[in-house]
Amino acid sequence: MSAPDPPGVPVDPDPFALAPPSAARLRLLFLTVAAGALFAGYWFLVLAQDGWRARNLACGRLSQVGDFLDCSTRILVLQTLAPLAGPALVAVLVLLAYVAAPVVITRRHRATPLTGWPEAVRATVEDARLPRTPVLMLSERGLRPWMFTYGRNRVMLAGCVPFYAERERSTVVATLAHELGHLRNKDVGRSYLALFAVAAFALVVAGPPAVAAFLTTESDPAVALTWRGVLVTLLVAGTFSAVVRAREHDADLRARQIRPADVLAWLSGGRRERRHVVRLHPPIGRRLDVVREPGLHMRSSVAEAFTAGVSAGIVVTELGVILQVALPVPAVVAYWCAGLAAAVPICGIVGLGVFRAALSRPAVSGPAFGCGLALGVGLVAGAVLSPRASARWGDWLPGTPEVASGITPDQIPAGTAMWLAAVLPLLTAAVTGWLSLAARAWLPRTGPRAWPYAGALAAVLLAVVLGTWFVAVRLAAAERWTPRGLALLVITPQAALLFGALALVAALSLWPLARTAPAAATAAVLAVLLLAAPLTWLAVPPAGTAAGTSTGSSTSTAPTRAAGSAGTVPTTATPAPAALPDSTQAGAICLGLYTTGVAAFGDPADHSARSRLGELLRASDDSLLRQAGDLFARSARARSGDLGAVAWTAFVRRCDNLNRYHDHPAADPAPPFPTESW
Amino acid sequence: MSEQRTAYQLVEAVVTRLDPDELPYLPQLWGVYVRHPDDLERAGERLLGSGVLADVAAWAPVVVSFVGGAVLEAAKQEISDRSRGGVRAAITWTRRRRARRAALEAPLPAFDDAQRHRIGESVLSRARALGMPEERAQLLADAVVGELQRSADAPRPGA
Repeated sequence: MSAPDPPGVPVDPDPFALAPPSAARLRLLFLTVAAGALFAGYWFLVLAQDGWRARNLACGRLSQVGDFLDCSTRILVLQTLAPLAGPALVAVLVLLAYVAAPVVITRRHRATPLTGWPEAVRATVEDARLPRTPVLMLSERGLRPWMFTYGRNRVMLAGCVPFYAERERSTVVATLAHELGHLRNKDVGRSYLALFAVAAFALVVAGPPAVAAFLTTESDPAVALTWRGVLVTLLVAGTFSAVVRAREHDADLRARQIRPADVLAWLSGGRRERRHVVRLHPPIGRRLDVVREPGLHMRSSVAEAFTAGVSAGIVVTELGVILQVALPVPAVVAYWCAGLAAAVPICGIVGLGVFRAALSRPAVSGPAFGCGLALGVGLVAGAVLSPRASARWGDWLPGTPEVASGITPDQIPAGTAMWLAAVLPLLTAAVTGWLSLAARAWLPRTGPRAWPYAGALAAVLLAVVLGTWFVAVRLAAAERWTPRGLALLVITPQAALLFGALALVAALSLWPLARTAPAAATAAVLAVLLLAAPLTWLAVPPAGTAAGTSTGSSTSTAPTRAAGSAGTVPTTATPAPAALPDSTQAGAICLGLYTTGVAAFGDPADHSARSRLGELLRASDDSLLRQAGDLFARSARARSGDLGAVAWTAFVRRCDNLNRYHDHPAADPAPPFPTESW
Repeated sequence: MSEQRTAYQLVEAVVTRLDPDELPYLPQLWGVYVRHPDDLERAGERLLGSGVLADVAAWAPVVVSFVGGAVLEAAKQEISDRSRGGVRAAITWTRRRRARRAALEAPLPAFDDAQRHRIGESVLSRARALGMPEERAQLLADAVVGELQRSADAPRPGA
């Protein structure tokens, strides 16, 4: 039975009404480690391998375009899947360490099960009301009354604890209550997994690619990779520290439920242990404040939102590349899936923080918007920090593929980059703001039961925002799009319909606010309209507007970045295809494609444009391009969009093959963006 | 006779002066100390511990640690000599551990006045570093020095 709170200890709000965020933090930590491991796999198994040029040349020598497409697809899939060995290695190391840890710890301490529990220990364990009675192990070490949890259900006690249990009962009771709080919060396994994930990250991800980069490339990309690696390592260490520090507050709060007076006395009289490298426990004063006022632990944090955003930015950059090739869905859908993988833990951290804050301070929405802005800024920073996007690797390691682009000035025009960087924080702030208003609307009616539904909807909203934004970044790096042209390309009518439907559901879910807080409800509706209006404007372009127009793409002498192993087929209206050079030489045609970009495809509904493109290619001196021309002509005759897309893929891949791998490769080959089903 | 006291017997005598009720726990605490002498004064963060260094109010762990520490300090040169010569660090570490245990179990050497004074100062400073109130720290140092003095004043066997 829990002892009553001592005077001066408030009982509300319940800090465990919603799940503590340490589980979501750990998921994000794993995703960040996995993203880093993906890049390590990409470095060692793709970038650093010499055979890609020969394989691609072999594909280019095939006589049939179908065989060529199969061959190049196999290479792409292999290059995409091989990096998965990185996360697999990390997972194996983490699991091995996790399984071995309890045995190693028991042996290191020469621990034996504690028999004849002292009365103070027995009473505290009973008061904790755990689902399973813990196993108490007695170490052969320890002149201080320390304890720690490990394994599935074990608490290691210092060798002198039986002595202290008789002589300094309150200290032993409070320390044990704290450790039992960890068991009750079920965070022990999570902490060990986080620790081993960080260790595996240091072993597999942080150091080896940077060293290899200095050994195999010039200093510029190696430096670019190294400083990103250092920052990502600091980020991982910081996230780990946040995981273990947050769990201490949670355990203190649980301990307060078990033995409040002893816990307060323990924290009041205790001192903080000395830091080694990273501070792993919160300051004693802060812990005391949180135990006295649990609401302090339930406030949302701008720093936490920013950190979560950085991690998620790295994750979506890496995962988007993988899913886009591995999943048989349009590129934007693959990116939405990658966005969802990051959005779920983000909502478990930032979203849950906003919701928990509403439990203790329901009328305050400002911090939620601040967290949203910080989250968006963090996501942009993550896109810059992602090791995959740290350099155009094909420039430094000839023959290797490039499958990612970062929002950096050397990859995206400054205006478009600034526009992209500005729009994401606004959208994420809209999502967290909505979540805050949803908490105000539903918490008084349903209590914390509203969180799973609100969190799920927020995750979907965030996934769509993230996926769309990151796909736009890759497109922006592959072409010199104007902001509007980019938006027209990404936000297709179907996507706009999805955005509209989600915005409508989000707005309707705030209806209880109309009675309790009409001003907030009005502001929310206005915000939805403000967001929906540009989408409507983008989804219905005015007549004569060239969707997907890239500024100067057909006139600029600077090489634009369109062609890749496959190109982007615009589905929005484009009045006339930009002209390719009237030449029979494959090199000239491909150079034309390289400078014209996707505008060469023309309007998907304009089959005569496809027919003209087919005629041009059929006259070329390259067999595969001639067959691609046949496919264009057949698609025009059959009025088949699918066949046109296959022809376009063959055309772009063949040109990429010629540009990148033949005797005189282009000086500045484009980063490919294979969006066959775009 | 008293010159032949071991470190444990000295600890026992000091704890008897300070709080005889703690005597029953002494063998267990001494056993823990002999195996891992540095634990009491280790203040670094334990990765998965509670993060709180609780003040130790009992006498026995402190006496065990400080008297043992003084003995090891006095025998530092001998321990170093006995553990030297290992090719590998692990061997050196094992030898040092054995030498420390032997020093703790061996009869205490004779301490002169200067050595007793130094031990008293050392106990006082370590007690302060541990966060012990000044009054208790002085009491502890006096008890240790007093017991060492008693050993020195006792008639030697055969004298």
